[in-house]
Amino acid sequence: MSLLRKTLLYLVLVAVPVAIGGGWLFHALINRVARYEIDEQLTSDLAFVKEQLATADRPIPEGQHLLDNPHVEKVSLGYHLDPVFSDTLEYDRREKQLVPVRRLTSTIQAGGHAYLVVVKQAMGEFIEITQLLSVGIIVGFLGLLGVLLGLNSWVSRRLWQPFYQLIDQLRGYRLDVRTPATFPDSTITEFSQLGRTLNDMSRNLHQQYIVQKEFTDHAAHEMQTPLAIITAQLDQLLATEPLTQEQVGCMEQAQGSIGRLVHLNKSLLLLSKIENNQFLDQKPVDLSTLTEKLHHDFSSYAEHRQLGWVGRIAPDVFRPMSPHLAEVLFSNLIKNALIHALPKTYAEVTLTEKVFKTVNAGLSLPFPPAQLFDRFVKNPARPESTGLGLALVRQIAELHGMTVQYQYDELACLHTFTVHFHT
Amino acid sequence: MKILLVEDEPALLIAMRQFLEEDGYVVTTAASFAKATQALNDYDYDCLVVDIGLPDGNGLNLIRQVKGDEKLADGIMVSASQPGLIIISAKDSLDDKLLGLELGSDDYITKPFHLPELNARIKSVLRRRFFGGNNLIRHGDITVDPLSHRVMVREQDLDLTEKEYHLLLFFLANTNRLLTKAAIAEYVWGDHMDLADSHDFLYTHIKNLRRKLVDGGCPDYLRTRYGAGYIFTTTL
Repeated sequence: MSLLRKTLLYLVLVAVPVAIGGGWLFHALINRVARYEIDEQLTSDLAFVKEQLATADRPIPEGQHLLDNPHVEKVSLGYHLDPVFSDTLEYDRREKQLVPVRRLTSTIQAGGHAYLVVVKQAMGEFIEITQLLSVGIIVGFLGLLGVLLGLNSWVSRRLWQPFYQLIDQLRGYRLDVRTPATFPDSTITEFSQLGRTLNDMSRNLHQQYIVQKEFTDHAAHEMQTPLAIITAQLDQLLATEPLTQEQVGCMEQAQGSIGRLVHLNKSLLLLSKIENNQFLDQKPVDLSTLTEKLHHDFSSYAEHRQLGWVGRIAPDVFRPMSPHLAEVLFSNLIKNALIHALPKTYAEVTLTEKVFKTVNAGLSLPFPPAQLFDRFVKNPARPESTGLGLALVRQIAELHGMTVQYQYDELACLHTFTVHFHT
Repeated sequence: MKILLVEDEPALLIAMRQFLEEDGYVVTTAASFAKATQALNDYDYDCLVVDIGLPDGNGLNLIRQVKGDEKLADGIMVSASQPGLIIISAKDSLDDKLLGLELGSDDYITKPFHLPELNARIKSVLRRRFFGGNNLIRHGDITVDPLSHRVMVREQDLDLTEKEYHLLLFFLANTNRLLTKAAIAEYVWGDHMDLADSHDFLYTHIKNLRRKLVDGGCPDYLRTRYGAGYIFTTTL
């Protein structure tokens, strides 16, 4: 739930009880006031009657007798009643129903007589007014609340606009672009601060990214140049005469080790580059053509190992990948299959819309399958391997949202590596 | 043929220079961007071999400079004056490679490399530059047409596999030199060289090539030396 909706929800949750409770309180208050005013009126009516009874012979105007309000009747002198208010229902002839009426009953001594006087006031209108007022207040309050909510949501939307804009920009944030991303300034202090902070962060990250990238580049340079010198000089040394067989043997071993070192260095750099997300230049790669090419490139090696080398390659399979990494991924798996296939058995590569698969016949793994894709895990029988080939495979697959699966069929002695594309 | 080598690592520079001079090139060396610029102003070269990671500037800028000059002079000079360009890089990075080739370099080689490989690439670039790739490579009874990938022995077509053809070209570019097994394997198989039994594999190919050449009627030019490598001789 968005911040805006949450705010509105809480506002409604609080406002509705407030409206109902407030309405009830208001109703009670108005009711009380009305009653008080009616009582005051009745009291003053009673005083008026008393005054008239005291001064006039004919104390009550004719017309009021008809309505029996006030009701004046003579009582015996000794009878005394304190003024008392009461609520009753009386039949209203005009409205043809019982209506609530407020009564004040009292005895009055005037001119040597005693009277029992009852003054009345119909309360229906007052009650109606009270109810109308209360309902009006509640409706008004709710209406106001509605307007407020609408206004609030509109204002919030406007206010949070820069925030959503920042989020959008962050979503599309990429480290590998040439210039660091800049986030817009805002007239709202908080968002302006956020924008500034993000700008600082972006600049720092970019800086670090470049430093890291340069580090890998420099590391490569620094390693490769001495290796190039050693390579050239060993070549030269091997070309000198005369050499003993022993010397040649030593130099060849040295050359072999340099070869491994070169390969190791390249693989490590590639791994670190992948981890640094330096391969984001994805575009649709024609995997069919690539696999065909690799199948062809490795066919002479397969022939050399006397392997049946089968390729089942579907045409026109395109996946968005980094072209360089695609080649590393698939050639590593193919190499893996061909190297570990037992001589004179067979190996195959399959490409469909959904998977890339290599199968080779071979002995079971000398280590737990769970370690297969870990770095520097290698077959003790092949010390010349870097142990990084399959680690690279997994890393590259993950980078492209693919998964690699390994299966070993004990009965048929078949190793299967499957890359699922998850289209 | 005049070659300018630009490389900041003295040991490598000397080794490259020595190797190329033995092949009959006139080699000028420059160990920095500034010196390379100077050298470019002083003379014309047939081929430039440039390390792009120089301490005082990016080798790519040197290429831009050369190509820029060329554009200015385009109206007046004939295109034959364009030197061949080979980039050396310690970074095996696709971006650099693409940028380099985009800027007009002819080839790209990643450190570490074997000198015979550099030599073969220089030869190939020079051939493309100055003969449109059209000149035939002749060696004794062998004739190779690099354009059509045809190999002939005594005017008879020889049917070679792709790998055998590349092997032969590599040998022909580096005659009378010891080519170590590592260098040959690296040239022919490149990145896939970590295959387990690469030396056996190489041996099979060389054996096949040799057999085809001898069967085609040409003398056996290949010599092995101490088991360290092979020499493709011109003298029998």
